[in-house]
Amino acid sequence: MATLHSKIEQEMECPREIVIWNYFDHEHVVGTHYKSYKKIRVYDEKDNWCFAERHFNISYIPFMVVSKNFSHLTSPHTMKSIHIGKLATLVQEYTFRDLPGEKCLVTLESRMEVPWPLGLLQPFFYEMTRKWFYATWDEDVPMRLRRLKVWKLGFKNFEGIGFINDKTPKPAGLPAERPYPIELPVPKSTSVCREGYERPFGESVEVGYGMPPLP
Amino acid sequence: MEFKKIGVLSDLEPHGQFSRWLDDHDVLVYRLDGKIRALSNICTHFGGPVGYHKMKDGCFTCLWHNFKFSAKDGACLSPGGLSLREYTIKVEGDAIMVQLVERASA
Repeated sequence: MATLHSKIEQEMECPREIVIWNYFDHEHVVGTHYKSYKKIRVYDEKDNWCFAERHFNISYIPFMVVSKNFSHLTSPHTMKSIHIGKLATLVQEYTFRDLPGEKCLVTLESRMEVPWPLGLLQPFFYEMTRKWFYATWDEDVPMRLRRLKVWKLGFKNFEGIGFINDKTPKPAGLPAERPYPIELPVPKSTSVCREGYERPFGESVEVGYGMPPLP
Repeated sequence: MEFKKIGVLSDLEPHGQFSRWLDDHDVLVYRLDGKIRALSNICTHFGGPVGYHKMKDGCFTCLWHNFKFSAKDGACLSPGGLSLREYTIKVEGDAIMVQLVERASA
């Protein structure tokens, strides 16, 4: 056997806890990543693991990929994720390192065992994983930054922001820092844990995250 | 209570909607049945951008988890979520003005 391998990393402009929330927020893949993901189903999950099935399109592969995925938060700073497909098994190890100033560094090592002649695919494997993960990370960047922003304004899941809902002035006593907790599993509101959750559309007119502030 | 400028009429082109942060409010401004309206752009589910996709069939679908909201009044059309706050809007010349605060603190 040969092992295909890639290692990539990226600095994230948000705390490690938000990156972990993002990974365990399984419903978002058919929202934020709606162009790639068609369906997600969570078979079971607990406070530090999840077993799910994903249907998605990946760069360079001209058909829909279906994989069973086991993700395990092995420590507050590490996660192991195993994707079992029809043709191969992909094992990924994530490391989340805290950086000063509410940032973190995410390192991802991916390994796939293949029959030895397919070891020649190493450059292709590296390029494919690099392209896929940087693209999905880039799609997630505004999500993570926005999540941090609304959290600091006092956002509560399934409620929103109190002073906005109440139409009252922003409270003067709102703490400048609001620690972000890791609370898993992430609360669900769809059928993702029963029959699965599908994207509602394949195409849309994207207006975007918003216009720049007025001068 | 005070109105503040959130944008100009041309910001509504070409999609008939725009969103912008103003004083820690993210406001979604749009045209519906010839009238300019505004809702909170912060999804009550997890805080996603309600107006990321162009309004379709009279509703907005949040980018992050596909929560749906009626453009008529901000009512949540998905299970488990609260409605979006509506903002009072007025147009002064070219400027679109929004009332962020409508009540005194409790």
